Amino acid sequence: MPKGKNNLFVEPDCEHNGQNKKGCARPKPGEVSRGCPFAGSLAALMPIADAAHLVHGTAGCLESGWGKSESRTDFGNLSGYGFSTQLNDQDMAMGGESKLLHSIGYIAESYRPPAIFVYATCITVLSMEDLDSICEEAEEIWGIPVIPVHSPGFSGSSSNMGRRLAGEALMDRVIGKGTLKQDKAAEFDINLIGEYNGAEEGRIIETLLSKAGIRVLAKITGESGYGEVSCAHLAKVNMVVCSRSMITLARKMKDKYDIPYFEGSFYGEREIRFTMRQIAFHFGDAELDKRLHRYMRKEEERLRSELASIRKALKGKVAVLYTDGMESWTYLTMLQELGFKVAAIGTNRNAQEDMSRIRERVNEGAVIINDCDDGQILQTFRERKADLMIVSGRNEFVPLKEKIPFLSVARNRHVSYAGYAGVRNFAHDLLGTLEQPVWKISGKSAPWEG
Amino acid sequence: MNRHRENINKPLSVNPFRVSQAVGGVLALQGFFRSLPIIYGAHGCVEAVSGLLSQHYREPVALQNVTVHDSNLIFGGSESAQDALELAMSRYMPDLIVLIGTSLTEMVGEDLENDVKLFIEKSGGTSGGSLILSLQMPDYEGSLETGYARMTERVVEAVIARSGGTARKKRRNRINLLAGPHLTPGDVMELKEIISSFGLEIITLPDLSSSLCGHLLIGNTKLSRGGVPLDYLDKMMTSSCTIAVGGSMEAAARRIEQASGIPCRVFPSLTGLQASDDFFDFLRKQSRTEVQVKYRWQRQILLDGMLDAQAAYRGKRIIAALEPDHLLGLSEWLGEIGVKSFRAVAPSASPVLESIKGGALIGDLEDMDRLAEDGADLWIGSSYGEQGALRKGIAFEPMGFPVLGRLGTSLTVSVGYRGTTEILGRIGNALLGAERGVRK
Repeated sequence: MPKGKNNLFVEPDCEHNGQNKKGCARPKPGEVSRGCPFAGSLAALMPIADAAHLVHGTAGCLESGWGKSESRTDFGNLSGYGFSTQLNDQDMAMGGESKLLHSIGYIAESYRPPAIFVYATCITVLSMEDLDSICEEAEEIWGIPVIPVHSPGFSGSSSNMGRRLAGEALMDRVIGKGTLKQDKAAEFDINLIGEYNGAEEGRIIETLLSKAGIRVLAKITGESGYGEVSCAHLAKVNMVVCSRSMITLARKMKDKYDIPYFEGSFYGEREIRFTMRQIAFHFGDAELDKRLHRYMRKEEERLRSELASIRKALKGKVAVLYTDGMESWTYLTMLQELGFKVAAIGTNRNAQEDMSRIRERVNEGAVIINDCDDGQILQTFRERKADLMIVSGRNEFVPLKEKIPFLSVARNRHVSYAGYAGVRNFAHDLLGTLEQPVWKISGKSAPWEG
Repeated sequence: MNRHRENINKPLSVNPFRVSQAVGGVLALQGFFRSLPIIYGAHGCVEAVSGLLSQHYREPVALQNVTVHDSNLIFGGSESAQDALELAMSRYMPDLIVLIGTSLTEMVGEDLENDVKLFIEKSGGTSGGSLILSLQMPDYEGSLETGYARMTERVVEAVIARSGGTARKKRRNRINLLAGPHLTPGDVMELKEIISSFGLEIITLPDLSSSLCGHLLIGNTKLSRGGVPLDYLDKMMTSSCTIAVGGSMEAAARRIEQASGIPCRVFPSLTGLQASDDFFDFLRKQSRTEVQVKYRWQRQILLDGMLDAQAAYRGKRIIAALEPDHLLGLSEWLGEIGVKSFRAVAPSASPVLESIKGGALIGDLEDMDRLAEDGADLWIGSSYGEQGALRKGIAFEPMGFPVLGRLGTSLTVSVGYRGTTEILGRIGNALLGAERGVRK
């Protein structure tokens, strides 16, 4: 990324900002475990469900981005559609600009979305197409916002970068443009920023907050509508949920709209308590404060009685974590609360704040393995005589192929681990995993193997 | 009138189900033992490919990448490509490496062949018996099927070149099987069983039956697990004939024919009574051996099943979005069992589309939506279509690639008498389920 092109490497609210700039090293070949900035942008904005998302690139670009999400019925499900200009060799020679304009028109006329996001890809950046001016032209012709998103695949080495660039697009072009209907104004409005965990988890968090009297105005971006996101500037507080990839968006909203933000998590009782207290602090309302505490006490008591037997069964078990990104620390608190000892954490692609959080939360004796590979984590698992491995999508097959008990916290699961309900689900799944007879049976040799 | 023409009034693709060539190429390589595809593209290219394959097969996929960084685009990426080859060789010593180019490398004009040549020269022949190849597989043309077929052809070509192409004595009872990408590992296993029941030895390429099929044999590894070993492939030049399953595999079969004079027989599909009869008859003659009792039974069972199912299929309208070879097989079979209409959408062009009776349109799932609006009882296709079928209120049967969120996909069988019976039940039950849904 050329210097001065954007300010995402200089974020005053990040720990790394005070250090010497290292810049990006030339990526090493062979590392498969890195994401695509374009895919990151698409994943971050696709949950804006009533908008159309048009990928300006070749066929493969959209491949990882659509068709897998559950149908999003709350906001219409246009984002369940995949739109791609699917450039062919002729377009690449002649340029795809007019094709893009026609495609935008086709979508605007056939599907009538409130807005269209248009994504640049490696190919269209290389062929030097002027995405901005085409979007501007389209906006004039069809009279709806057409928002360019600039995050070609080679613009960084992670999907995280793409999410940040998506945040930039939202800040520049979406947030602040909408107005709330008068009767929709509420006292305690909050935005959730960086809530990526899919419909199920978002709904649970929203229910949890609403029980305590807090309304989620916009989820940036969990499942949501374009209208909500465009009104995000009307909230009183921003909460950055678990992931730091949109911290810049939160900071810019603080600077521009004077909305304070804090970071929190909904995974585990202690984290929820901390989060709720922050919310109470920012609203500064004695009545709300009391209500929140009453609510938490009730839920915690309920958990204590419901989980007593599971806690007993899980006590002293040893877990090894081999997950990506923020999952490395979000599950720590919950695991420990449920009685697990964490023996090792393999981290890849973690922000410095993530590492600080791991160190803050982890029990004594746990090793943190940076830039961990499969062999290292398996060796550690055996040396520490661990009972269970926690993995996310990319690493799922490491324990599977070794017949090691594992629980996957990948995003495509159907059960939520967030909120109080999530603690309950997580506890049941952990115990269920450990009790699976499969682990024993799969280690058994065939009768003819002697 | 050309019914197979792409819809030219539409500038874009809405709900595309075309899977890029590189996915097909990587898939084909999983069917070669200890192989390693290296994708030369941006980060996302490799992640999308491995994610898609892993989710469908529920297996890890051997795959590495050369990472394209902005500096590579300006100064060229030859150095990175050679680093990647170096790393792969020194760490894993694969038997087969293929450097796969993407539209990105094509566009900036990387010369992959030269990168491979330079690497081999530089390493001074230390690559041992390993085969190191390159292939451009841009995603702006073709689809999974063409990628798979082209990769198979590339490997065949290299094996022919390495063996020197000299005429050697043929073995009467050895057969080459070129298995197309619409066949599951379960299908390939079934075909191998059928062929070997005639006392024939089989060289399968690519051989997915022993790869991506769920075996736990060798623990955690970065190379393909299972598949046909490279040194075994040399023997394909001395087989008595080559069977290609699926029109897309014909080109590779012809290569072998040209180089060694081995005749080849192309079976467009092996699903259905007639197709299976043709196959067994061919094997009978080839081996001069009779069909085993087991398969005579299977034929009886299939016939009985077709009689049981005739009412369920009668008058039904089925639409499908699949790769061309898969579509042709399905349309022949559904014609046999008497559905009223079969209309299809293919992701990319292929000569076999001409042979589909109801015709096939090259297009996307928005075209499937239109077919659905004209009336359909069942939607067959990959998971990309599931939501569309749901929206249109049509029963959905997953088939093709990718199928996500379902168990046992890779072991389903739809070839031979037994496989046809299986698919007869699957589609028939989906149709019956839909009927019950309507009456509710």
